[in-house]
Order: sequence, then C-alpha cells, then structure tokens
Amino acid sequence: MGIMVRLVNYTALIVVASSLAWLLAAVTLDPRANYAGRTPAPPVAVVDAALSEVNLNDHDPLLDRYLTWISGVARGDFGRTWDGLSVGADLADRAGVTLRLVTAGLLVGALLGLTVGTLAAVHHRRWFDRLSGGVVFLLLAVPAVVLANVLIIGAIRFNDATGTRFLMVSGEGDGGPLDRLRHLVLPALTLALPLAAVFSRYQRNAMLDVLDADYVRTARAKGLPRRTVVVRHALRTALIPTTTYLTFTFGALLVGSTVTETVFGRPGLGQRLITAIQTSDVNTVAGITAVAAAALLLSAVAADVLQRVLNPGRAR
Amino acid sequence: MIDVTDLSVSFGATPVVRGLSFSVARGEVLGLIGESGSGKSATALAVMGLLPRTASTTGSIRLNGEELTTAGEKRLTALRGRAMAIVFQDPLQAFTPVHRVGAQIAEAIRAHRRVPRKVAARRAVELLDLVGIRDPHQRARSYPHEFSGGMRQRALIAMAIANDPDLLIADEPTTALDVTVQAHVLDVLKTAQRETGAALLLITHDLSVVARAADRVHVLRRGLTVETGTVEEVLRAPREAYTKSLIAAMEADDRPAAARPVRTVLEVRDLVRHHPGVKAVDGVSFDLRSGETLGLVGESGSGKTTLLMEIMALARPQRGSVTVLGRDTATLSRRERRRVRRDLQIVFQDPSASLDPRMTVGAIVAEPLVTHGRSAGRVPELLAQVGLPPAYAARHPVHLSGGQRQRVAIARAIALDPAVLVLDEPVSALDPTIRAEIIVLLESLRAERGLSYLFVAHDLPLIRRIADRVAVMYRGRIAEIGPAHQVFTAPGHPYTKALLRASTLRDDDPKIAAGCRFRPRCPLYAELPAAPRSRCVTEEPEISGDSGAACHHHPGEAP
Repeated sequence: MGIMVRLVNYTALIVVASSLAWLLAAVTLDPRANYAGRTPAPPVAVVDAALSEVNLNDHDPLLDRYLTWISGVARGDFGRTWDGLSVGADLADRAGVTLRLVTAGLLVGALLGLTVGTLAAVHHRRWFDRLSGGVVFLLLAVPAVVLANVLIIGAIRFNDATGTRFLMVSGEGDGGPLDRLRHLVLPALTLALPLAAVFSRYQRNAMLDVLDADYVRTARAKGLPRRTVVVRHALRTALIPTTTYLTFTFGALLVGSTVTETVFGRPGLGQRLITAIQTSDVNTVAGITAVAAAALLLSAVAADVLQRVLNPGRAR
Repeated sequence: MIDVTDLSVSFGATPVVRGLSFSVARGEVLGLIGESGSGKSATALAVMGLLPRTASTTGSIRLNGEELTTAGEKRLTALRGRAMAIVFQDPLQAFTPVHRVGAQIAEAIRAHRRVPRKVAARRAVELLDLVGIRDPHQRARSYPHEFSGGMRQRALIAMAIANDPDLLIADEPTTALDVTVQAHVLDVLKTAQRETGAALLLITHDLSVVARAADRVHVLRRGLTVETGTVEEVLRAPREAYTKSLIAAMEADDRPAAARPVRTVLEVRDLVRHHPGVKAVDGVSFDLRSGETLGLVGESGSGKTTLLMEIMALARPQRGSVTVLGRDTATLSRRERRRVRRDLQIVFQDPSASLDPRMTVGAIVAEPLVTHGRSAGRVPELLAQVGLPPAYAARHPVHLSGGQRQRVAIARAIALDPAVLVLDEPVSALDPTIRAEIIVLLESLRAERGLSYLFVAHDLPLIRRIADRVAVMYRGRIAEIGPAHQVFTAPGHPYTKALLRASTLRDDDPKIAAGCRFRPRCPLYAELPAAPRSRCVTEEPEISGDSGAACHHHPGEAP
C-alpha cells in the first residue's frame, strides 16, 4: 500500500473515531448541569447564550453543532471547554506531560522487560527464571494505585535516608529538566514496572521459541560463543514479535495512564479525560479521542517501520 | 581422525545410542544409516557437543586424539566450526532468517580467524561459488528465504567447510530436497570433502544416498549397531535381516497390471488455479478410473497440493472442470456437494497434524459418520479394517505411533465408503518399515473395496510399486502421463528422465512467459539445433489423449 493511501486512510479513521466520540458525548453529556447548582440560578437565556457561545447548547440542533465542530477541526480548532478555554491549547500542554511520562515509562519498561525476559529464557527453569516469574506475577497482581503508593512510601524513606528531597511525589515540575526528571521518576516507574512484567513474559516466550530453532543450533555449530549466539541470532529474531506488541502499547498508554497521573497529580491527558467527562466538556472528550486515535495509528506506522528494519528482505 | 568408542547417549532414562563404535579416517566417507529413532542424529550432536542438557553421554569420542566427551564448553566452542563442522537437514530453518546468507558464512569464518570483515565477506562469496551457486556476489547479499531449498543446502555446506574442518558431518543433507536436486547436492558435498580432505560422516535414512556417496556403511537400529562394512558388502550381501528389509524397501518392482472395468470416477479437464503471481495449476487434465491408482509426482512447488485442494473444494474452478462420479462440481447445490463429498475423501501427509489431539480415536473415526447422519456403531469394524484393536477407540492420537495415527486417518477416510481416496504423501512422514505396512494396508483396502486412489508422492520407487498410471507434474502442468510401466521404463519427457535417473538439473529456474516451461532446465533443449529449438520457445507443448509427454521432441512425437 502506498504511503499516501495509507495516510489518507489513517486521517479518515481519526476523523471517524473522534466524530463518533463527539456524537456520543454530545448526546449523553449535559453541560447545562454546570450551571444548575448556582445560587442565584442564572436566567435560562443567559445560560443558553453562554453554552451556544462554546457550541455546547443542547437546544441547538445536533447536526448544526456537529458541523460547527467538525468545520472547526478542519481548520485546526478543536473548540472550547464549557468555561470558554481553548481545547487545542489545553490538550497540547497536557499531551506533552503525558508524552514524557509514557515515553519514559515505556522505554524503562521495555528495556527492563526485554532484559529480564531474555535472561529468564536463557536460564529456563533455573533460579533466575523462577524468581523473575514470581516477581512478574506479583507485579501483575498489584493494582497501579497500590504500586504507586508503595513507591511513594519508598521514595519518602529514600529522601529521609539520604537527607535530600530528590524524588518528588506530586506535580509535573517546571524548574528545568532536572526538576522535571525528579517528578518523573516515580510515575514512570509506576507505569514501567507492570509493563516490564508483561513484556518480560512475552519476550521469554518468544526467546524460548527461537532458542530451540535450528538456526540457533547452526550458529552454535559454527563455533560462536554462547553470548553471541543468544544476542545476534536468538534475541535479534525474538525481537520481531515483541516489538509489535511494544509499539502498540505506546498508543494505548497515551490515555491509559489515568491512574498514575491522578495519584501523582500530573496534569496529563488521562486525568483530563476524567475531569472533562465530569464537567461535560464534549469538545475535550472528542479532542482526547482524536489524540488517542492518532497515537494508535502512529504506533501502527512505527510498528511497520520497525518490522521492516528488524525483518529485512521479507516480502509483504 | 574421529574415533568413537562405546558411545552411549540417553535422554533421562531412555537410551538413544547404545555402545556405538566407529571411526572415520581422513578423506573417508562413512555412511551412518538408520530410521528415525535409531540414534543417528543424537550421535552427530554428541560429536559436536550440541546435545541438550538433559542428555547424558558415556564412552569416548576422540577427534585427532583429543577427547571430546570431557572437553569444556570453551574448548568445544573453539573446535566447532573449525576442526569439526556439521551440515544440518531442513535447510529452511538452518539459517537465521534476518541475516544475509553471505554475512552468516562470513560470521563462521570470523568466529575462528582474526580477519577483517571485508576479507571474510570475500571468502564467503568464494565459498558460495565453490558449492555451485551462480552469481555468488549477488547471492551472498540475499536473505535465506530468497534461496531455493537446494541453494540453502549448498550454502550450508559452504558454511560448514569455511574453516577447512577435519571432520565434516552431514545429517540428512538431501532429505528435504527434490530428487533432481539431491544428486547435485551430494556431488557438491563430495567435492567439498575432497577439496578439504575432511573425514565425512554421512547420516541418512536413504540407502541410495549411501550407495552414491559413501565408502563404508554403518547400519543402526534403536541405538544399536546392526551391521557394518564397506558399501559393496553391505548393499550387495547384507547379513542381517533388518538390512535386507531396508534394501527391499528401497528397490522397486513394477506392479502387476490387472484388467479393470473402465468407469471414470474423477475427471479433471483444463483445471486452472492462479494465485496472485503464481500459476499454481495451469491447465491440468486427467481421468481417474474405478479401481485404479493414479500416481501424481513432481517436485515441491509443481502444484500437486494446489491441484488436490482444487479437486477437494468441490466448487467451481477458476477455469476448467472437475467431475466426480459424473457430476460436475461447478453446478452442485449445497446438498449435492455434501453427497458428493462422501465419495471423495482425503488422507494427509502428517497424521500428527491432521488429527485433532483433543479427540479420542473413536470420536475421530465417528465424526464423518455422525456428520452425515449415520450410526457411529461401525467404529470398531473400521478400526479392525485398518488393523487397530477396538480398544484403541478410547485413546488419544498422542498415545499412538506415527503408523498407527496414519491408520486412524485412513479409517476416518474410508468411514463413508467413498469411491475415491486422495492420498497426499500418506507415508512420507513414516519410517521405511512402517511405510511398507501402510502401503500393504492401502493395497488390501483398494482390492477389497474397489477404491480408486489419487496418490501423491515424491518417492518414485513407491509410486512404481503401487500405481497403475503415473502423472508427472511440472510447474502447474502435467509433463507426462501414462501407464506406470511405460513411464518408468520408457519415459518420453526429458524431465521424467531426469527424475527417474535422479540426474542433476539446474536448481534455479526463471519463469517462462511462453513456450515450453521446462526449457531453461531441459538437457534436450540445450543440445538442440536452432531450428527445432524455436518451437520450444514459441509453442507450449500439449498432451493429446490419455497418455503421452508434453514435449515437442520426445520419440513418440512427430518431429
């Protein structure tokens, strides 16, 4: 499939996904409720005008509202929140916050998972394999909230013991790269550890498959040292199925890190999705859906590119 | 060179090799022969020090006087690929799929010698050239899947001889290859061995390979030595009954031709099945008559399997027609198709893959009966017919041997009393002695029930023994068809001749747009003068009538 055809298809998919999200949100959410609890209650006409101003008035025909929204999207304007802020600008800030978190979490999780999985396969049924298997199942059994709090307690002990305040447990940080890093360590680990647990199992299985392959035996018969055989022939081939899984995880995580963002008070996309639903911000919900769809499709492209790099010469 | 004394290998409590002793001298070829489970591959792995950790070894293996059984992993790593090298079977899997072939050969060189990358790469190209790969510069940059089976096997040989080993082990080096390519690869192996002066340990189940290439032979059975001697002695005058049965299984006799009532049960006309980019079946016509066995032979990729699947689909083909017992499959209604399916059943090559592991034998055999609304009460009778005790109905396929599983597959196939049985390589996954038993079973079933067989096999002696007529497929078309004795004794097509003599053909063949598709590999075409040649280039040869050869220049054809 030509690259242009693919881009057109992907764009169409993003439009369809976010339109559906917008329609669903527009039909089920009720922005008017934001004004309901006020005393004195504002006149209906005022509320209508305020809602119409931001294209959230349920008394306006649905189709008109949709057309207003979609034509805005076509111009790069994702609409406004109920209190008049720009959805685009808000999401752009938050996407950066989430992107840093997810990238760090995924990188650490991938490296850790691949390493542990590979070692477990190489030492199949020996102590490292059994130990890592136990830890993996423990990590998978623990909910993210619990893991996050355990890490927070650990971090406080660490800070106390070292007499510093290196590890920060809340917020995003704004005092330059080092400050950002201090705020990033704990949430990234919260994300990375369960990911590493899952990845390590995938990688272990993929490695076990290839370690028995004839070509690994051929490589040993050539007189290559064991380490070279494992890395250059087995690991290299086992990465092919695992990377596809890794890349797609990235797309899914972009809005899937809600719990982590909430616990660590990071103003990211996942957290924003929850508040947007609470305040009936139809446009924000649709905007986040668009970002998530774009992230997933980008992951698909990345997976494809990686496959071509890792599995060269293969006709598709 | 290599001295093996009293070698025993066992996996857990199961002995695989028991008290094996042999030696191979410099420049000598020892054939180690036996069926699967005879311990021959375990012996090869034991010598290379590549047995899995669960295996335990006793006895002595000495290479140039150095004891290998007690050598450390580091020392073995240094010896592997340099002093001793191995060519594995199944070349499809033997190369790492993600690295270029040339790079993998160069890697073998650099594992033992400190040479720059460029030098190793150049040497890899030379080695590919030595084993007869054309255009080695370009081919070195190919990935393994871009090679044909024969080319991969050659490349494996190139890799094995990269460091001039003293001992070369070839484990079933030709088993996965087509007949016409086998001979070529054996020649390459012998050349490589001569060039390096290595001792060659040739492991195979195929006596003809040993007869062709070995000096001495060592017959193994269930880990024990049956007999040993020079190839002449053992093949001409075998002392042991087991060796005799192996030799008998190899030799072919014509099947006695019998007069039969002529009724066409399966009629295929100009059948075409094109996949994108591949003309898998490209105009095939033949008849199958009641009570006869039609043997279908051809190399892998010749379209045999696609042809069978087209017939079994009982649907409208892309072009041409399939008629089963007088009913054209293109016009069948859903209900009629079900009815016709009873008359046309299939037995697949690998019974361990074609039987559902979760079902009992009884359930497997009963399934077609129940599906077609008949009583499952016939199961014990069917099992008895294929020579299985009724108690086996309660077992699962895992608890059966390969031969027993194939018997179950046959029982399932005959459950609905079909008229035609399609047999897709039904015995090629089995050992020679088991193979003979299954063939006897198939023969007696055919005689008892008046079945017709469409029998696909790449084993020519087998086809010769059981087929009444033979069709030879090449590249989606029938190259030659006729009575078995005629095709085997007086083949008309140059391709059939090459197949029968297992003589060498080029193993790369470009696609041909027009004219005779065998032309690029045809030894006859190569020698023709220009005038008769032009016909081969412009005109696709056809077979007229129910026997003949698709060649413009075979003896029966007018010049």
